[in-house]
Amino acid sequence: MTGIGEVALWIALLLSVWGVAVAFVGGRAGRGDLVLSAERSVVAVWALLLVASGSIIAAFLGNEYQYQYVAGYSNRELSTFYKVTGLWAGQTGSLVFWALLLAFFGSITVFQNRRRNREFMPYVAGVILTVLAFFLVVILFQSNPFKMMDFTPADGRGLNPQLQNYWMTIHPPTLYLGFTAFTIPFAFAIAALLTGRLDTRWMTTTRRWTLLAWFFLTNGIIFGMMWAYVELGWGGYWFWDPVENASLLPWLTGTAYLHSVVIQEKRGMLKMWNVNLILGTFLLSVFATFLTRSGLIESVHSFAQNLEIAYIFLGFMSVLTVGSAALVWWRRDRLESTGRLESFVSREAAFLLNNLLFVAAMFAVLWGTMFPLLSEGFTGQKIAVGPPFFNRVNIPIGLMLLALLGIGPVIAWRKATPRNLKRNFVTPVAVALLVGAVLWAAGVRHTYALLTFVLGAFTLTTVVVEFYKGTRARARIEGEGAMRAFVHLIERNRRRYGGYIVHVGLVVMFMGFAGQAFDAETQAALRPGESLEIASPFGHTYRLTYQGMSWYPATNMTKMVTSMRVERDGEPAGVLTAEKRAYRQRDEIASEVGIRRAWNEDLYLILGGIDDMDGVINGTNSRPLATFRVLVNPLVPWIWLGGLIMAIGTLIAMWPTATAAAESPVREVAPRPRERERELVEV
Amino acid sequence: MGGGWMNATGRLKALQRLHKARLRGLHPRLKKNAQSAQADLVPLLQRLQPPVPGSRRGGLTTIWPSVLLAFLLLAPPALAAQSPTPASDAVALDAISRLRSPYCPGLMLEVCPSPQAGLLRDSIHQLAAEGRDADALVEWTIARHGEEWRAVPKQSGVGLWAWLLPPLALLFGGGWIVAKLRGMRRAPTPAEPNSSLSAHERERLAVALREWESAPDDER
Repeated sequence: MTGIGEVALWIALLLSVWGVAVAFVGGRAGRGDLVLSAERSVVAVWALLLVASGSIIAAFLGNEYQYQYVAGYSNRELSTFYKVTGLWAGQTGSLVFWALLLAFFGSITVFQNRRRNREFMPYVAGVILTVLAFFLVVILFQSNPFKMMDFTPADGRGLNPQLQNYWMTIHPPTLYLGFTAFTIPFAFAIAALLTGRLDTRWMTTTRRWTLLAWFFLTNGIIFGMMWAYVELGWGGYWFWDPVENASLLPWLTGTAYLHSVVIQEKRGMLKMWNVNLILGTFLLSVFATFLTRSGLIESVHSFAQNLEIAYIFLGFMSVLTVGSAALVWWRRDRLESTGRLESFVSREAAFLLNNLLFVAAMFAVLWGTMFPLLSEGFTGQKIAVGPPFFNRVNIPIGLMLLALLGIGPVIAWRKATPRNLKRNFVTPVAVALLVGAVLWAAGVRHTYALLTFVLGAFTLTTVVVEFYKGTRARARIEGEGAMRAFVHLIERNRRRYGGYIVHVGLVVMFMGFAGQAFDAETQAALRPGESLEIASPFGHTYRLTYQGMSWYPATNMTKMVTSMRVERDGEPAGVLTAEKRAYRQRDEIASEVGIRRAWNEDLYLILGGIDDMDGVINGTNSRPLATFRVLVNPLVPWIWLGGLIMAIGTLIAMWPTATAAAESPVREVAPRPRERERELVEV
Repeated sequence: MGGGWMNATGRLKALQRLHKARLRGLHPRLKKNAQSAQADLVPLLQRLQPPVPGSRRGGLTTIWPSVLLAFLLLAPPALAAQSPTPASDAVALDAISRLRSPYCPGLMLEVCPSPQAGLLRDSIHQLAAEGRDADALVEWTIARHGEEWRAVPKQSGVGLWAWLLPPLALLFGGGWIVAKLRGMRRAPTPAEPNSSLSAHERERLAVALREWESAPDDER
């Protein structure tokens, strides 16, 4: 069974190369039969990658340690769940998974467009197959999951303990879904440039793909934050690690693109900008994959350093960059704006400023991430850039974006009059100032945190007012009750109001970030029966009493578990446990934290070290000394809540309406070209 | 714990216990590194430890009680000055937040779970209690461990480029947008609306445009 996996990969590569050739030739020559062959190649490559992926999973489940990949990431004691997810545990398998997802999305695109966008599809299929061919070349020649060991070990090395976590299981696939989904609008952009059809059609066709990619990328980043928070055991969730930054880069440009396409649709402006944004977003997705796999920049996330893969990726990105730039230059005349900006105080200007800030943030993150490499290359001296740099540069940009979140959606198109500004902004500004005054009176003096809450209140008020005005108008016009009018309002304007809900989620998340300014921490070495206390910024006092320690063997590991009785303001508040896990196969010790969650703060317990572990195991030490670090993390739950709200808003925004599902006029008027293509083939 | 010189000694002993606890939690392979890292702690301990009775160090056998008495009389002011205070802890935390951990690849010193990192943090706290400022603490650590562990680029030399480029890029981008948009506003306007339209027709056209702009996205 597993033997056919590698054969499937080779056939997939050959089919991809065939598909690339016939796609571009067929598109150029108007040969429908060749185009049909290219589209079928996409589907066939997907099927073959399914076979290859299935073979890898079968090898994990069958404990086939003759394969280097299986031996490196599995062992007999590993649970079935982690054996299945071993497909993306390491570099080689994750590349196959990346290609599988891209082929899947490509197949859906081919199916969706079987009767429309026929002038685009040759080039869309060609681009998708080009990217697939590249990944298959990397897999087969540099990172083959079916590479055999010189001997067959009796057991594998097992999975890294830090990867044996639910959030780490879903974080990579969600990110890959985001990266690969951005390939579709990229392919359509290239097709539009090649065909010269640079109206909004390619953008409206890929609008939901872009939202889908953004949805997955956003959630993938948040899942990674959750994993870091729960598993890495330092109380933080984002570290400006190079691989984290790499996933943020396409998110920043993708978010800018989602906003700027609105300007092109409404006003015919920013055509060149939008094309460059989506091309850049895809390139940054490939860059993120390159950064993770090359290991060129030191990171807790990256796979081992592999310079050959690094050079291959660099070459591919260079070709993509130069090719895309050449196409944009070639079609620059057709990318001129047809609309004009009439006022700097307008929604167009607000969206432009929004784009500038997102791109500036992207540049700052990219620059900081690459600076160590660049400084070493040019001066011989590696200058590290850590979280303080990224925070100092990006927090002001983030605050400006937070303000624009409230301004952009409500300021008038074309030119905002003083009356319009007064009507839309007096209430939000008043609420924001009131919130600021209340917080100041309560003793909040941290500048950035205060600004976050003030600007967040401003934005939330604009959104609430928008919902209120829309619901009230609809209730009056349609004669509906308030709740019904509210639901129908969203139903009829999913993109707009879904977007507002996403903005709410982002505001809540920013407030969660601001809570970091009020973190509390303490640390102590305790024996059973001893306690420590920590005060939270919300006025609570937590008392943690060390009850004792136990140990027991579990699957794959030995656990040393300490338990703490928690009291909040003198009242019992449960028990928290923190662990040290000794993984037998890997000879590693990992920490597992204990978290007590409330709606406004987390109580976070880390087991630092254990005195006389042998004594505990042998039962000779009944009062082992243990060191604990305890944190109170205010507002961290709001980060996860904000992420959930953003996910709901995105789903609402991209949910198809009944009218969208109907046949478009183009399909009604035009003959059915795929049937014509089939006729050509039969002849 | 209470104030005074007992605090400092007690604290250092607690540090020693902490260190031992951390050592015992370690894999044997790491213990070797941890023991070598104890060099950060030992000089601090030796400064406060009384000479061992009967030792030949300094020929102190006959004057041990005098030394002890001198220690008891003179140590409190000196040791009080070295006790970490909230202010010195804040200085230490500031310095720690600017350093990467030499013991955990890719992690900052403030969050590195390694016992050696813990010792280094403790030493920084102690040095801050002795009166060193954050910059001096950072330089002390860099001198011992290497420039690559500095987390925040210096605002001079090559490091200055790290700080300059992002705001320059933002300013350049903003200036380019303003220039582009000003040019757009100065450009000839698109063809004027048909002058044969009456005022009433123009009003109807404006209303229709407003309705179109506020219509649901999928109905355009």
